[in-house]
Amino acid sequence: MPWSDHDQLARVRAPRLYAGLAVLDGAIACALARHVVHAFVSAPSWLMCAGAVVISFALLCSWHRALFACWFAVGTVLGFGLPSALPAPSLVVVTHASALSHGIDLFDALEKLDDDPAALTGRRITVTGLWRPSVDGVCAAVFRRVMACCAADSIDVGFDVVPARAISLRANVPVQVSGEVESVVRDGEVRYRLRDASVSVVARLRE
Amino acid sequence: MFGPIAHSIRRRSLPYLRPPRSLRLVPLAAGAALALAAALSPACVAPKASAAATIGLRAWSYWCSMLLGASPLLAVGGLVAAVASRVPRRWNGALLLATSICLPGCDCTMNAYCGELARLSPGVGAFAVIWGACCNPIALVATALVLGPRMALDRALCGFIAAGFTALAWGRWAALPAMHLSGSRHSFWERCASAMATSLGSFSMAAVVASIIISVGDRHLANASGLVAAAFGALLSPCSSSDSILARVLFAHPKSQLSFMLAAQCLDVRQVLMLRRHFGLARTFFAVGSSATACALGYALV
Repeated sequence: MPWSDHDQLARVRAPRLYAGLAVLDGAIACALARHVVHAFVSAPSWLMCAGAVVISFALLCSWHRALFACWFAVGTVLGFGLPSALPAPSLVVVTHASALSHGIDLFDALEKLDDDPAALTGRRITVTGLWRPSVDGVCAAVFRRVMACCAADSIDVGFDVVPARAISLRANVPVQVSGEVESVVRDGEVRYRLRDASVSVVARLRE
Repeated sequence: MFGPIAHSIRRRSLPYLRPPRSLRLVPLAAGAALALAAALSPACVAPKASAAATIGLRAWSYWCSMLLGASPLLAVGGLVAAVASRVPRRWNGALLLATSICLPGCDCTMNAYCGELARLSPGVGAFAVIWGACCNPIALVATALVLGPRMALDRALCGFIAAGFTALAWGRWAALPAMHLSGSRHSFWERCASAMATSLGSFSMAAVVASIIISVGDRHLANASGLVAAAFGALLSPCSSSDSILARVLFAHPKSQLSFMLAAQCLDVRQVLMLRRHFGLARTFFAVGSSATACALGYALV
């Protein structure tokens, strides 16, 4: 494509993309105001706020201010439609450590198992995390969500849980689980689970 | 204040108040889906419609998350593009090369200032794009912490091979002119807004693909082959800072882990769309070929 055609194309497309940028800006402002932004991204609020300010300033200096205000308002309205929590990335949790989070009992236990499976297998351990009930034949689990940047890289890491007695807890309730560690091979993958587990609800999780 | 809007409505000449051509197909597709649903029995349609709605809502949530997560990085990239467009031409290449190699950002940032890289000589531009995406400092540090220094070294070596091959190919065969916005007539903030807006366009397309893959796909890939791992990484397009974490928890074998990381940065949808937009089809083809070769070499190396 010759240069001049591409320049012309860019001039035609840019205003539409400016509108998209203004909508995104409005949605960020709304998500920050509703305090739901941490469900979507791992970046701190001040960084999101700074990004939104730069976008706003650039658009205000280079586009029609009235149009910016309109599309910003559209984005703000759409921001109210953002859910307060993201759905689980997968029905089954990953039972391997991410290696970057230390000081949390669940991650430390998985780290030890990854380094030396014999170190914990057969021993009774206690971990804390969020509860995921058994659904569609998939084992119940205790997990924590690891998110390095955004949803594309979020992953639920934890243990499968076989409770000693039947329990009924809602999803995402903070729990403390004590159980005996055992490894099972499912579909060729080594997974770790806590059997004969006792599950108790806790007030909040230590971050 | 509302002068421009009234003017555009009166004249109906401004393109941004008309929906884009792709959106005009939405009512047509919705009508066809409704007609199909009406022709089938409710017992057959209801479960499928419910499953499709669930997947759609999940994909929407993930798409929003990716755009929100990328927004500060797009802003930084826009500022880099604006600064680079103001720097004298003789310093421009050194500044952009140093920025690409040293900036602890990811593809999201580079997406915004890639138009400036297209102004450099083909070899320098190619090296900056591929090395910056695959082996920026935060990516190498995260890989060393999560997967060990040996894997970080392998990643750097494969990234260097991919960047070097691409630079050679662009310099030798892809003699077509690069495509970019001519920004000399733009002010600082106009260049910044233009860079952010155009990068948002291609990033949102890559986010559509990734959000559908997350919503539909399963993450049981522990024993996946290198090829499957590379395909998953290319479609998911994760950040360079997080691909090592995903590689560790999703894949058991180091060969699959390295293939996933390299493909996630050099062959991913986001990168391919960015290269196509700024450098044209021929150079994108050579870049993809070079990166695939580096991926295969890395697979054999580990």
